[in-house]
Amino acid sequence: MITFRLSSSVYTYAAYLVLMVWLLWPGRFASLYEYIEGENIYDQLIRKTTKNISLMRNGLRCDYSEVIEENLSLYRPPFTEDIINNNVRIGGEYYPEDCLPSFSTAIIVPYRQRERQLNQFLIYMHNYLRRQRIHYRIFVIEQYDPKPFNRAKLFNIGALIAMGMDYPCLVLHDVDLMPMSLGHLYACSRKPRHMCSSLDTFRFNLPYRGLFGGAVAIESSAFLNVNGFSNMFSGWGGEDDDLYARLQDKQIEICRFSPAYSQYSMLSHRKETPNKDRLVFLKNGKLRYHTDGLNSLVYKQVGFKLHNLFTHVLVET
Amino acid sequence: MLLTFQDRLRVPWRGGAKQITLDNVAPIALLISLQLLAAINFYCSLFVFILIPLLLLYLKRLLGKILPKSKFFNLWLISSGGYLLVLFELVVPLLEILPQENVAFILLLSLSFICLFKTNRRAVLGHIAGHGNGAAMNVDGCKNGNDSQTAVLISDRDDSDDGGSVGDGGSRLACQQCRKYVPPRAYHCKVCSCCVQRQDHHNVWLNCCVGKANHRLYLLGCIFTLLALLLFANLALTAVCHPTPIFNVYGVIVMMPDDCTDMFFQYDIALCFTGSIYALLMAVFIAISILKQLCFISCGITYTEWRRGDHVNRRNCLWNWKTFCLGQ
Repeated sequence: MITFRLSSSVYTYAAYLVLMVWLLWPGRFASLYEYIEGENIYDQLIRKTTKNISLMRNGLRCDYSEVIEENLSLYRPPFTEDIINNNVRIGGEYYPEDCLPSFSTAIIVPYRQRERQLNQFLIYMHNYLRRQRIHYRIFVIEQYDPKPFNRAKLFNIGALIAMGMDYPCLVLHDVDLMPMSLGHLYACSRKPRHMCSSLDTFRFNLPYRGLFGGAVAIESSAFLNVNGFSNMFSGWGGEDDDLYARLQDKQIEICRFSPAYSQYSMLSHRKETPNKDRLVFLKNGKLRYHTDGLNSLVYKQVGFKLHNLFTHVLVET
Repeated sequence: MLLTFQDRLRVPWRGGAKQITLDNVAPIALLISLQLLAAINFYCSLFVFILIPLLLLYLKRLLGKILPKSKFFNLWLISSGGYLLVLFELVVPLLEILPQENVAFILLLSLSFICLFKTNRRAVLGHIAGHGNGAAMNVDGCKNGNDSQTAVLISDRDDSDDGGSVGDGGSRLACQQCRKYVPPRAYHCKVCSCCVQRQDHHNVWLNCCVGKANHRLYLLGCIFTLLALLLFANLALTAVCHPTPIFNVYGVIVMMPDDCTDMFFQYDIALCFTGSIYALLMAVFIAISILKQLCFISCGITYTEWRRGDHVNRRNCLWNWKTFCLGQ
């Protein structure tokens, strides 16, 4: 009887121990990740501009150290309410006139039926990006058919158009994401960068290290190297992980800025319907890296308009 | 028929079958059913969260009459804690929660459980047991039956804090139910069937009396439970709703939820949401209880004394708290 009780007690303590270890296991929670500190951000950025900007030789180079050091929080009125001192050129392009910018960036936004968010996005982003004093242009790629939304394909289309205009850096940006830290320069770093690693809907934590969605800065050459996105991911989900897998396949690592520079806010919207096949596509994606992407992109361009605040591309997929 | 069913309801246990009574099964089944019902849509959750306080209030009165020793509320409390723990560890999206936040929650929950468990265990230390020599004494005095919960102490009451000497027979207090002399500020609990030293109240949630022996542990347990519930609600709501940052503490961003629309779009998110509302509901009642305790401790009286109308002026607030903390 005594022996039985002792063994029963041992089993109880073992069960408690297993339960406690499982309850506190860190792998079940938000990930800690390596990041670039604020003082190293500028060194990591690739200073390259489009040809027309490079040919301008009138004056000094723009200084970005103050913007990075101060890292102001701009996500508040009046920057979210109206365009301040509108000097944006037709087609949503801007470059500072008093100095030579070091970075040229094409911001590609896939879009369908989110007018209110697009309006908020354009107002805030122009106020935000002009203070960074970079050369940028906003491309809005609208899917103009009733098929399921294909975010990846729209990115491919936008990337082709932007690369045709000689942009060396692409920012693949969702329309509902708003950067909160001014120090996060919208330029490409040496490795593809996951920009929104501190997103408010994830409680400013990174759920898992392989997360590569939302806003991504990638060089045009790297995007060509991995053959862009897969065109097969219709509906919500999976295409970001596929791009991450493509980069891993090419031994290309990604990077992130520190959480203080990577805080993003997501606008409220109704949730999309998940793509049920996305897990299957992710699993066998390796077979299609070289055949499915930029080199197999098929679409019909319905319209190309230069609006005041953005370049509008309407496509049928 | 019901009695026969209840008599036959048994589960295999070590050393033979153990009988399970209906008031032991009901809280677990009721709680889980109501929580699953609340997560269906907004109107169901509104209905459930109005129903739960009313149901518990009604059952408290009902069981107080027909079954005073019922463990219904004790099991309801334990089931609530277990449900919230399982909900947090299995349903709340943990990939958005830092490991240290989880450690804080587990720590608070463990501390509250330990305190309340010790409160229950130490209750017997406050019970006045043994056979007094009062049988030989001739007890005189009038009877007062208007208090059904606590018996009336007869003879002259000595309200000084020092105990009456044994030699002074005239100032000793006697309990009519226990048929023996008891120290000052001891009161009879009908449910426990004995006198409890400095009884505050009989707590149906812990299924024991709160008195001199376990009052401090009880207060501490309530505080830890309140903190655990608030932390649970904050973590779960900021994980499933849209959070807004409030301030930074040692690199951890403290957030509050600011947009909880679309909560019933997905059932597991709705479960997290309704679980958080339930935790906040519990937190409100526990906060009220803590406030009452703080008031009575500051005044130097117990809830039983307050209800009996014994408005004795103890010295001052600071002295009362010192006495409470030292357990004198």
